[in-house]
Formats: sequence, C-alpha cells, structure tokens
Amino acid sequence: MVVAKKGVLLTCDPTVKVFVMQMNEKKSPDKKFVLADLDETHLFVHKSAAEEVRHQVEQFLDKNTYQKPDNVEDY
Amino acid sequence: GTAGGTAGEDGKPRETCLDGRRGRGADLVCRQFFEETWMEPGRKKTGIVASNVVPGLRRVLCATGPPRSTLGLSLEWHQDIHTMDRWSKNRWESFLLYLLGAMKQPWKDEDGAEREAFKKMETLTEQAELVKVSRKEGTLTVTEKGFQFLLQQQSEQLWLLLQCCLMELAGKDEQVVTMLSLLLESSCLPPGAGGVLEQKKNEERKLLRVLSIMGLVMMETREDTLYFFTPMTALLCSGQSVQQQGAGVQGHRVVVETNFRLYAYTSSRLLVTILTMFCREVYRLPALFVGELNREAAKIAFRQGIKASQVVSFLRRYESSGNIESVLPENVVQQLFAWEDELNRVRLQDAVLYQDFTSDGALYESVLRQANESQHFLWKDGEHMQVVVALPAHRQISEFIKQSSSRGK
Repeated sequence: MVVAKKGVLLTCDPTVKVFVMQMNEKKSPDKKFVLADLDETHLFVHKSAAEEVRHQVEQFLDKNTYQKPDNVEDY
Repeated sequence: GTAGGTAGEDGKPRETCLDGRRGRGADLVCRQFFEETWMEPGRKKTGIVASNVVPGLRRVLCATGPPRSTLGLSLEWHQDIHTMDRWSKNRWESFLLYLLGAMKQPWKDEDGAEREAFKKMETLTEQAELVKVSRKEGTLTVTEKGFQFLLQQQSEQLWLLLQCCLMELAGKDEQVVTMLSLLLESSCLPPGAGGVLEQKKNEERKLLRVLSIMGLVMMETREDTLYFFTPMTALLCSGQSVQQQGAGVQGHRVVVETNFRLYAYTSSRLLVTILTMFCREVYRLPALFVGELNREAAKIAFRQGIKASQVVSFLRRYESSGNIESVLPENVVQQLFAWEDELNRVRLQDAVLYQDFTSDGALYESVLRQANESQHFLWKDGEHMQVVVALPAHRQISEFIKQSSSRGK
C-alpha cells in the first residue's frame, strides 16, 4: 500500500547535507526532523524544522566567511 | 527684435516697424520680404511689406509663438522650459521618495486637491503591487516588486504607472483610446506645449491631474485652466536611448571601484536612497555619496526581493563609453552573484513523498507520468520506487492512486 508523507524537500550540496545530518544527530529522538535521506543532495524533512535549518545553515556560512571589519574607515 | 504692424482690410501693403536690435538672421529675412526699406532717425528700420506676409514675418522675427501644430490643434505655450524641466524632475523625485517613505508630505498643507491626487497615486501603486499601504499607521512599505521597479529605467517606470492609471481611470474602451491618444500626442509635441483644460474631456482631465503628480504635466496653479507637457514626456516614446548616452544618467555619475567602494557624484536624494538599498553608507555629502558594497547590505537587498542582475544592470547604466574608470569591475559583478547564490545554498519546498509502492511497478510508472504532466514533479528514485511531488499536486495524485488501487482490486 502506497504511503504518502507530507513535509519539505531540501535541496542542497553534499557539504550542507552533511551539516544538516549532524544537526539532526544532535537532536533528541523525539525532535529528529529528517524524515528520509533521499540521496547525496536531497533530504526530506519535517515542515516545522524547515526555518530552523535555513537559519542554522546561514549562521554556519556566516561563520566560515571572512568579513572585512566595517569600522576601519580610512581616507 | 520686435515687430509691430497695423492690420488693415484693404489689402494694401502695410508698414512694419522693426526695432534696431536684431541679429543677422532677421536681416536676411528683411531683405527677402521687404519691398522697400529705409532707416528712420533713431535707428528704426522701416519697411513696406505685402500684407499677406505680415503674420509669417511677425512669427519669424518674434520667435515667441509656436507654429500651428501639424496635428491641427490650438496650443498654449509655456515660456520657461528650464524651470519646467527642473520642476518636473523634482516632482518625479518627490513622488518616488514618498513611495519609499523617505519623504512624509510632498504636498503643502493647505493644498487639499494635491493631497487627494497623491492619495490617488498611492492607491494606484498599491494596485500595481509596488507598495503595501497600512491604513492604520498611514505608512507605506515597499514590496519586492516595488524594489525591482525602483531599479528600472525611468521610461519603464513611467509606462508601468501609466498602465495602472489607464486601467483604473477608464471605464470604457473608448475612454482608454482617448487617454492613450492624449499620451502619444504629448510625446510628439515639442516640450512646453499645452492646452486649455476645459476643452478636454472628463477622462482626459482626470488623466492630466494624475500626470501632474508624476511630473509629466504642469498645471497652471492659479486658475487651474491651463496644462503644459514637460520635457519628461519625451521619455514616453523614446525608450532608453536618451539615458544611455555616455555622460551618465541626467548629470549624475556613479563610479564603482575594484575595492567595492562606490562613489556617486549626485545631489539627488532619490538616487542616494536607492543606492543605500544595496550598499553601506560611508559618507553622505551634499554633492557626493560614498558607499561600500558589502556582503551584509547586499544580502539585505537580496532578501527583500532585489535580484543581483538588476543591481548590476542599474549600475551599468552609469558606465560611460569614453571613460574607462567608470566601467563596472568584473570582480564586483561576480561577487554580487556569489552573494546571491549564498542565499540559495539551501532550497526548501513544501512537498509530499510517496513510498512503499511494493512490487507495483506499473502504479509507480503511472504516478510518475501524472507528476510530470502536472509540472509538479520534484524527485524520484527508480531503485527504491520513491517519488517526491510538490504539495499542490498532492490531492490529484492521491485521488489517482486510490482509483488505481480500487480498480486493481
């Protein structure tokens, strides 16, 4: 019998996928949000976790990008 | 020079007196038309001219009145084109700044009609989905479409607003035709031409009032009986050629350097407000704005709905062909696109996953075909027989599956 699951399809590159899987591992069993691991670049996650995932990925990218300090104003 | 003449009815040659101060051109004209000339004492040159030549001669020498338009309309004429040009540019800027929320009240307190007209434009822009009006606080917030609108060419902006105007103001098709012909007529006439308001039909009058908010038409404020088309109407039919002519857009210059610094040589509040939408402000001086394109400011812009390609094409408009320093650097362009891509690192879509087709390969194939036809197909795995479809297609596909399995039974 065919089963239908409602959720959110997450498309990303393999690096970010590994990051999201790690996020999932750290959660307690009742809060895990990954419903299915589809392939290298796709994940199926719970709708409620979508925004949190997006936010965490952005923070992760921000941490790993060098930003020139803004307050150094010359000439 | 000036010319005065007496008009008579008997067809005899008239005397026309000319003032001494005239240029060479007038001299040549005189030689053509005057049958006889002589110098009067006091430097007044007098001549006898055939009466039928007098009106044309007066026009040529005085050069203050317009020739009768080729469209056969009677025109009024506004004397001061430069003031009108400045007024119309100011008007357009105030209107856009008002939309951006940077200017609270472009109309004067005592001018009720102005206020009404501005509010009308507000409604129009709301319908065009450029702004969202919050009735309680009376504030305007710019939408995603609105931000993209602000980065477009002025001629595109004008036509978008005019489209909304026409749809809103015209009840019947004939009215649209009348209004469109008024618009096209305005762009064909020389700048400064105008007419009498009473002679126009009702819908034309409404359109003219709306156009005066945008700076395309100047109304004679004392009696509100005359209207004049400003030089801005040339933009209606010329497309982009006027603005792309090298020396920057209407006297403003924007230079972007390879270190992401942006220098705008302008005193236009509107241009500065638009630049602060996607770059960080460093210095703001009366005639110079210094900014920096950085990741933070760019990301705020992209999140608000502006695309990197729009920012790039907006900045490219200020490139001038003769000046190599004004070319937008390649590294800045690529970095803007890279920052936009960062926001798209993760794509999330509401979807449904169908699994456990268990041995029913035929059903799997037909569901796949259904999904493809409905344009909502997202992902499939043939090996494990799983399909992901976007949420809007869920009802259709689940119905289809129920029908197929009941048919199978």
